[in-house]
Amino acid sequence: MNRQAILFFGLVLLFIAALLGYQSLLPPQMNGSAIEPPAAMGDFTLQSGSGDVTLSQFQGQYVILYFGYTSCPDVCPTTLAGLREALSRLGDKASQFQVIFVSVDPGRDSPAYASTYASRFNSAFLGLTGSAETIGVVAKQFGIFYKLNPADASGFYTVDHTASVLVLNPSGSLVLTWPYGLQPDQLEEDMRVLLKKK
Amino acid sequence: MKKIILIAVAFTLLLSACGAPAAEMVSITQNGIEISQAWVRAASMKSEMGAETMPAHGAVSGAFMLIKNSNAEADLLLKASSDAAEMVQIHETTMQAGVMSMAEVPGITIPTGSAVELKPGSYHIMLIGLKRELKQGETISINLSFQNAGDIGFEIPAQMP
Repeated sequence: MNRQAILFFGLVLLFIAALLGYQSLLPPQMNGSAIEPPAAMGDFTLQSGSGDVTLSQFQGQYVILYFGYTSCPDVCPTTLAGLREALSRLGDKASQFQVIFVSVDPGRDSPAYASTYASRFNSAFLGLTGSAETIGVVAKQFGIFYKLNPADASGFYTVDHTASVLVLNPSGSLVLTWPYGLQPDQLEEDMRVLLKKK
Repeated sequence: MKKIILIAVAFTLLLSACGAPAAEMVSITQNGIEISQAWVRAASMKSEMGAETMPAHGAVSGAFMLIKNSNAEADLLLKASSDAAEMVQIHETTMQAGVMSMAEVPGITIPTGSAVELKPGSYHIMLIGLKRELKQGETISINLSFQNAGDIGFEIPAQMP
């Protein structure tokens, strides 16, 4: 190899090293939308199959909050299954995240049913609901839209709802939202970024 | 070089195998309509899930698949039925400004020479009021009625939610 070639490759390597160094200084990119500064969201008390659950009792952990309904055959289960997969990739760090599923359809989902539904995805997932009135207040508090559609001739109805997942930091403030459709590895990446911040 | 290509091909195949939802996937072709990659979401009955009362219509599930039309004319999926549920509808999920909506549609057009995928976040066959628990690995029978291709019945496996 002649001297010119050595010089050229040396410069290329130097350039790559500088680029990598620069990138490591930048704040890590999130796949979801980071909320900066984190937004205080307030507290709530809803019901699981085994009684009252208050959001603030999870302070110290990240809370992954998802609003949906159990008669939803595709988006809700896909989201919960994606969270299960992402958390299983995190291994023992998964215990730093608490997944809470809130049913916005208390007319069909009892607290017991919401709880059992959520725990089918992962035994650590919590499923909650409350009175129609409380659900309305909590959804509004967290910026979640939902609407019960008119029933068809057979009495079946669907529910429109915000499909994003909310992530609250260990002090209960909103730090991140995930739109529907992110893949488990993308969720896992964001979870790892959050854990580094903690 | 040949070896490297072979390894790359094997690796790609391995990766695509990992991405495939599961084993015993059905593939059935009838009157130019091919149905493949069909699966139904495993689901429990509400009464078995700690619900004190059975709310209207019990539990639901969704069936997903790839429908390919190799006929010279477009076809229309008009109706779906299954003995596993009290009611079966064709639904479409749409996303607008982050809000998910799901509604019954009158049918799904399968254009000529192409395929339509029924998948989460798009079309699905909605099973309302399950008559029994759908355990992973079990199958249910489903029948699809097409405008041109007629009725196509097949078994689809239940998979974890």
